[in-house]
Amino acid sequence: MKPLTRLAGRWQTIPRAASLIAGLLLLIGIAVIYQNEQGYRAQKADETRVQAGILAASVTAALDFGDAAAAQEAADALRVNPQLLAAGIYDGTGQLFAGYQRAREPLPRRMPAASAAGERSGNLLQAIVPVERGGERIGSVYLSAQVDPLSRRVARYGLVALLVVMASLVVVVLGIAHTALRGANRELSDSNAELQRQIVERANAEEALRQAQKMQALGQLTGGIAHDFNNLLTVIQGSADILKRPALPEDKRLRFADAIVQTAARAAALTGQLLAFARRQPLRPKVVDLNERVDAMMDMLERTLGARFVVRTDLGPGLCPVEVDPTQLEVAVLNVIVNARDAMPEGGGIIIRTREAVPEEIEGDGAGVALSVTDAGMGIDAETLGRVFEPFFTTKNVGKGTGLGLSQVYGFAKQSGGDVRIDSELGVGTTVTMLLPCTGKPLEKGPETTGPANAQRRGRILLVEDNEEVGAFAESMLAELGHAVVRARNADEALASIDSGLPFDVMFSDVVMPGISGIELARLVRERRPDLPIVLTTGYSEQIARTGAEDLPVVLKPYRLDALAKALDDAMAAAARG
Amino acid sequence: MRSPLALLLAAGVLVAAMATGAGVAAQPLETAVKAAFLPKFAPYAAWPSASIPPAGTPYVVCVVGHDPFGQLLDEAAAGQRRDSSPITVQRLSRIDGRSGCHIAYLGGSPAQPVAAALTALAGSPTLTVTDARVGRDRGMVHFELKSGRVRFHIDDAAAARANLALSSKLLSLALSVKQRGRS
Repeated sequence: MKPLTRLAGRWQTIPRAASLIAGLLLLIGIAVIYQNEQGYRAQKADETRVQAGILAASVTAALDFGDAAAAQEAADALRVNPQLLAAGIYDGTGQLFAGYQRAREPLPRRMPAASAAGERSGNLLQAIVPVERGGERIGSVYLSAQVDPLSRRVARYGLVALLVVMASLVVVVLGIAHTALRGANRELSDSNAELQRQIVERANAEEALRQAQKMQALGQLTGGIAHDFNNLLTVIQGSADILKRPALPEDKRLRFADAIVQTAARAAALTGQLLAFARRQPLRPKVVDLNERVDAMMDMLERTLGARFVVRTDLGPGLCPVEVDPTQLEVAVLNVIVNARDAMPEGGGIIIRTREAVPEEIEGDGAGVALSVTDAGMGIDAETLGRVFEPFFTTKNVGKGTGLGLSQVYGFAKQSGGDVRIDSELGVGTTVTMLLPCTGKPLEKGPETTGPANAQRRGRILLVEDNEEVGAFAESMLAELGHAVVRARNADEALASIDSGLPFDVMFSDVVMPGISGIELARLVRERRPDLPIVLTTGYSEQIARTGAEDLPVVLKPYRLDALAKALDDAMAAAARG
Repeated sequence: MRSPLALLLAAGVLVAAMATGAGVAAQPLETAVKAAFLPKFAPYAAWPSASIPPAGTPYVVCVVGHDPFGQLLDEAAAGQRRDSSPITVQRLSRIDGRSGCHIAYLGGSPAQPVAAALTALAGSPTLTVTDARVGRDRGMVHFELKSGRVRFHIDDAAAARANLALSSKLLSLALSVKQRGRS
C-alpha cells in the first residue's frame, strides 16, 4: 500500500504538460505503427497480385494447350518463396489444372469465389487473377500468401515502439525533473532574497561604521585644528592686548606687532594646509635655496618648540636650488618638527640636516637634495609606520593632532616631484627625509618683504565684499593705504554704483558671494567698463580652481597689507599704461 | 468456348490412358487433340505485316494432302479467334507460297509429298506443321506422341527464315526447340 501511495504522490508531481506530451507521443507512435502495418499489408497484397499476374501470363500457353506439366513447373517456380502458401491454376471451367500447396493451406479443388480476390483474412492474403489469351479468359490463377508472422512484425516495430516509449519516459522524467527544479529554484530564490536582505543589512552596518569613523576622524581634525588655532589665537590676543597698553616702548611695540604678524602667518599656513590637503589650493612653486629657508625658519621653530628642545642644523654646502611652494615647505618642516617634539615628551635634541641626495634616492636620472629631521624620541613601531602617511591617521589624543601632518608632508613632496622616507627604531628615534629634485631655474629673490606699505598710487576703489567684518576691515585697510573706498555688499550694488557713473580706478571684489559671483560680476563690469581694472580676492574658491580667474589678478585671503597694496598698485599701473 | 478445352483435356487423359494398351485405338483421340491444337497456334505466332489479314477477314489453316481431321478441325477452328479475326479451314492437294495459308498441316500425298511441300513453301510466311505419324520430314512444328500425350517440336530457325515469330510461351511447351540463329 505504501509504495502505491508514494507512486500516486509521485504521479502528481508530473506536470500535466509532460503527461500530455508523453501521451501524445505514444499515440503518434501507435498511429505510425498502424500506418506502417497497413502499408505493409497493402504492399504485400500488391506483391501477391503481381506474382499471380506473372504466373497467369506464364501459364497461358500451357493452359491453352492443356500442358499440365508445364503449368505445374511454372507454379512450382513460386515454391521458393516461403510466404506463398498455395498456388493454383484453374481452367476455364474452374477445375484445378495444376498447382501446389503447403501443409497448413489446402488448395481449393474448385476455383474460389471471385469475391475473395485480394481480400485479407487474418495472416492470409489471397489473390485471384484471370489467365487471358487475346483478351479472352481461359482460366484463373489463385495465390494465397501469408504476411510476416506476428513475431517478426513485432520485432520490426519493436525498435519504433521502444524509441517511442523511451521518448515518452524521457518527457515524463524531464517533467519530474522540471518540477523538482522549480521547487529547488523557489528555495534558491528564497535564500537569495534572504542573502540580499543580509547584504543590505551588512552594507547599512558598514555605512554606519564608516560614518562613525568619519565622525571620529572629523573629531580628531576639528580637535587638532581647534587646539592649534587656540595656541595661535592666544599669541595674537595676548600681543594685541599688550599693544593696547599706553606708553609702550617702541621696541616692545614692534616685537609684539611682529609676533602677531608671524602667528597670523602660521594660522594662514594651517588653513592652507587644510586646503592643500583637500587639493583645492594649487602649489605656488618658487625657486628657493633650501639652506636659506631652513635658516629663516629657525627663529620660528625655536619659539614653537620651547626651551626644553635644542634644534641643531647640519646644512650641506653648495646645494642646488629646488622649485617648491615655500609656505608648504615651511608647513611640512613644521609638521615634522611638531611630530619630533611630541615624540620626546621630556624634551631633547632635534637635528635638521640638508645634503645632496644620493642617486638611488631620486626617481629618474636628475639630481636632488635631501632635507631630514631626526629626533631621539620613542620611535614608531612597524605597524604604525605603514600608516603614518594616511590622512587622519594619528596616534595622538583627541585635540592633540589632526592626523594631517605627515599626510601633508607626503602630499607636498609628491606634488613637488620628490618623495618622503621615514626611518624609525623603537626607543632610538625617527628620521623623516624629504627628497626634492633640483631645478635648473635661477634663484628668485624672496618676494615678501615685510614692512610698511609703500603704495605709490592712490585711487577710487569699488570694494565688493559680502562679509561684514572682512568688508569693514578691508575698507579701513584701503583707507589706510590712502584710497577712496566705495563699499558694495553684493554684485547688484556694485553694478548700481558703476551705472551711477562714479569714476572708479579699480574694482576689488570677493569671489564667493551669494547670487552673482565675483567672476560673473567681473564679466558684467567688463561689458560696461572695459577699461576698469579688476582685482579678485578669495580664501577658497572652487570656481577659480575649476575655471581659473579669467586672467584677472587674485589676492588670496588672508592677505597682507603690502600684498593688497601691491596688487591694486599693479592693476592701476597696468590700466594707466594700457 | 469451354467445350473444346474440356474435350481436349478429356482427349489428353484418354490418349495417356490408352497409349500404353492399344496404340491404334488411341489414334482417333490423338487426331482430335491435334485438330484442337492447329487453330490454337494462331495466337502464338506473328506474321509479317503483309500477311496479316485485314480486320474481319480470317486467318487460314490449310490441310495439304491427306486430311486425318475432317469435321473435328472445322469445329476447333470455329471456336478460335486471333484478335478480331476468325479462323477458317481450307483443304488443298498442293501448296506453295501463293496459296494464302497462314498455317499449313502437311498431311502428304503422292501428288506433293511433305518434303516437296516444305520446299515449295520455303521462305514464305506460312507456319508449317508436320506429324511424326506421317513421316520424318519436319516443318516448323512437328507433332509427336510422347508418354501418351500429343507434344511438338519447334524449329524456330525455320520460322525465322519464313519471317515468322513464335511466342516464347509456345516455345516453352515444346519438346525441343531448334533455336533461331542470331543474325
